[in-house]
Amino acid sequence: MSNTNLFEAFNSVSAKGWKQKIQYDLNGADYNNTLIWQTPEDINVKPFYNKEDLTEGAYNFKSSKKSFKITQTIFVNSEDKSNTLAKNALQDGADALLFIIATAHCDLDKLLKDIDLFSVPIYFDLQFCASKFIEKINALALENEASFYVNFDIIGHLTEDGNWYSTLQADHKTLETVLKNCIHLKSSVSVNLVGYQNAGATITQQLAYGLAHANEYLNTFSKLFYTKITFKVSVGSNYFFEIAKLRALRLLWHTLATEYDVNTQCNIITIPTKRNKTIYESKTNILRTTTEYMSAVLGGADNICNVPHDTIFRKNHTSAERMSRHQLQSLKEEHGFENVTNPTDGSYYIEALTQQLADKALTLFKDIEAQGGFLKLLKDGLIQKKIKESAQKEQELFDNGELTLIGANAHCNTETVIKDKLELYPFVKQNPRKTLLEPIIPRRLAENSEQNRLKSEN
Amino acid sequence: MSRKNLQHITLKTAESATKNLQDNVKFSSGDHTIKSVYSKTDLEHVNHLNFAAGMPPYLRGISSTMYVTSPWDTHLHTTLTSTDNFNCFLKDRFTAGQREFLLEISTKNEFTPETLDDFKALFKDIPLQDISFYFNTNTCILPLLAFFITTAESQNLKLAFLKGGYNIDAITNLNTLKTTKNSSLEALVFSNTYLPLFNRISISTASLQNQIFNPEIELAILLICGNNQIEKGLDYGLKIDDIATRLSFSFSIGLHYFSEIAKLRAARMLWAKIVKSYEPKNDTSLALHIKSLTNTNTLPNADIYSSVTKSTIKAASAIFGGSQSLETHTNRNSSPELERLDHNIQWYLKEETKITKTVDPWAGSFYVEKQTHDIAIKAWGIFEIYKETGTFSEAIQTELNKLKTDNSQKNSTITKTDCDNTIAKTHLLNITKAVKQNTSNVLELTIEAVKNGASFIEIYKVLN
Repeated sequence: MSNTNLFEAFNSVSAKGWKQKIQYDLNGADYNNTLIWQTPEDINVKPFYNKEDLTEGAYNFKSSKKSFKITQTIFVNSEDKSNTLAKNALQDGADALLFIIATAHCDLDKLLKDIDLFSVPIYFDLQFCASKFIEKINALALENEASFYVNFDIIGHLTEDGNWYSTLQADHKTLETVLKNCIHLKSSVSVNLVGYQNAGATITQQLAYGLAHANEYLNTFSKLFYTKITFKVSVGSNYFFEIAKLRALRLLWHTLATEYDVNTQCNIITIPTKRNKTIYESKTNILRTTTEYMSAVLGGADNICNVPHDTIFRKNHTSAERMSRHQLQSLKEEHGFENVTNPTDGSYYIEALTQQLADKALTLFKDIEAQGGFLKLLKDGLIQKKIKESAQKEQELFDNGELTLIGANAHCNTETVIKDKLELYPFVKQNPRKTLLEPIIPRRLAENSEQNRLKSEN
Repeated sequence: MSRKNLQHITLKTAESATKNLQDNVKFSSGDHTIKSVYSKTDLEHVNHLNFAAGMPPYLRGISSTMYVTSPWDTHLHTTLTSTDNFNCFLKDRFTAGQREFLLEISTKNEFTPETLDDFKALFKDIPLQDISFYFNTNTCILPLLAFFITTAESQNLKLAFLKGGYNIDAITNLNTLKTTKNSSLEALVFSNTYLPLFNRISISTASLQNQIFNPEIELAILLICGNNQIEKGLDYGLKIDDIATRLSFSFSIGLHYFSEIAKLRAARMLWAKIVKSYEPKNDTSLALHIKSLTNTNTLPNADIYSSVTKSTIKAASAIFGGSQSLETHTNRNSSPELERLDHNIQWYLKEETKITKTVDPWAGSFYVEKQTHDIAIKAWGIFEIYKETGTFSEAIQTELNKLKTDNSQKNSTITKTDCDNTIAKTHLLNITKAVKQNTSNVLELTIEAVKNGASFIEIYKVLN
């Protein structure tokens, strides 16, 4: 029965036929002006995609059939408290943990007490540079057959902070020791792309900079890439572009890694972007993270970090953490996203976007390499300049209302007063200091308008 | 240190994952097999892939550019709690651009408007001629229509300009297909004389919204009900083009993201197939107008986070399926904050996610196309069996029996009220007589009763 053609009475339509129909329906309006969306990535999105857009190419870069892991972030202040938070999260939906650790004095035994290290994957974001500490994590991994990932990214730190942890040589020396010695980690090298998006880089830039950033490590240490690389990526609300971004990233890494003969698979951990979040009408952030999580799942992320809707202006509180975790749980269990590993494969639109983003990013990447590589351009301030230019363009779109954020520059509820609810300072902190190079500063689109509104609340 | 030269590299295509992933079949229940990896080979027998939007059978949407040129309509709905609240709601929504409302008055509600003055207050300063009102065809429809018409007349509106129509519950309608109980109503629906613009028929599965239901069964029921309306219309002497363009489907959108997208895509193709068999003159008669309602099942009342997440995902399905209008219901209870969030969901999807920039973005996905195909084949199977035998298979009948439709339990809270207005009493008696003799002028008599001071409940009682 399933082979019956129910629709014999109807005719196939070619792209040409469809376009003709559109031109007829447009009634004289210009096709390109009316229907083509020119994106900041310099991609022209067409009003329709069909079979004729599909190139025989690469499908599915997801490295495994395994479903994504709901990953709870915990900033470690006190080992005991963090340990309790971790255990509670694991009992209530979390599949994996990400500890942000500020000092090498952290007592790992206390922190990891009674956690099933064999089955719970754990990420460590370290805010300091010490090979001894990472070797300790490595030893624990070996001892417990644990899945530990250390996000140790010296260039990532440099872009955020403007300085090396210590010096170029010392930082690289530490990384070398880690790569050599910590072979029991699932991942000992990581590239953080989150800052690029949060500072306003386009998707093409994020991909190209991420790749060029990774290539700095490959250039020096490709022989020591014993573990799988981890990319930490932030995901925004441009639904299909974000899906395509993650797919393109796998494609790009596969391409580059093949050249160096290292593991061509990568591990992707995502977090919702901060760029579009707002302090007014903050529940809209729940809608934003919902589709951002969806894009991450559909794009094939391995780990997804949950983030509460009010995280930019409220201190961590367990109930919001729990509810944001439940968002991911709902995606995982109730909406059928996990029934199939490769739902995006074959989609004319997503395949086309993936291909175009990857092409453009590769071109930009080669351009960076031709000019001497990512570090050189960072030192020259060129990367920062390019990101600022993109951010400025986006800011102008927001300021003139072409780019909308519900509750911030569109559909505002002007009666809302939030001054008393701010527990954290939600804006960029002005802290000019002398650094080796100019840091890449994250900034939310709505900051200026929110500051003005806060002033007028009195 | 010299850098590795990478200027020569080109994008490498990885091996297709399907080759690597063995044990492909994930689980199966009955004839329902869900695999975990889909590929081109799954589409070998799928014949619909080359259809477009704006042309029959409208797989990818009923207009050639869909949301790229005009996004869906946002519909919000509120429960009637007082005349003033409802009046404010209508005004707000009218200002926001909503031009279509479902007017639902059930005797089950805490608040029921009673008198003509109540109804006048409901619609005070509302430009009725610019709005389409839909009424549920349940037991309350005649008094409601009568009050509505009388209110419109009091605003000096000509009945010929009143727009709107009837919302038929497909599930209830299945049980009454063969009886002629609603004959006066049907005459009204299909007559072009009394209320010529008040002739839309929306076939709805909203009463399924508290149930988990197979998409193919829901679709089949809508097709059966829609086909039935076509045949009734033809019996009344209408032309197929005239009937088909009045009909729309109102779907209840469930949890399963991809199945819901596939369901709406399949619906348009099957409906085009059905209408085509009646040989309409215009291609546009084959285009199915879809309204979607995110259903509220499994929404826990306490956790806004979770219900908003679910609503957003369902709303996205409805949009990717190509709905003409969308009503979001985040919670069964309503509050200004929740209503605002419902509205924000639609604004957010329309304005921030860029999903309106291209038509039918999921087209081509091996999984979505296969699902579209499977749901179409299954729903068509159910439809054909029903058409031939007038019944469902036993399995489906069992599922249907589980449903308790709202209408069967409605008249609970009505208390006996005696009419003390003698003129009104006479008019009420006229209605009773007309109902007994099954004459066709019940609506006219009801309007007379309204004009002479009969109340909603009094009319409701003599009609039931």
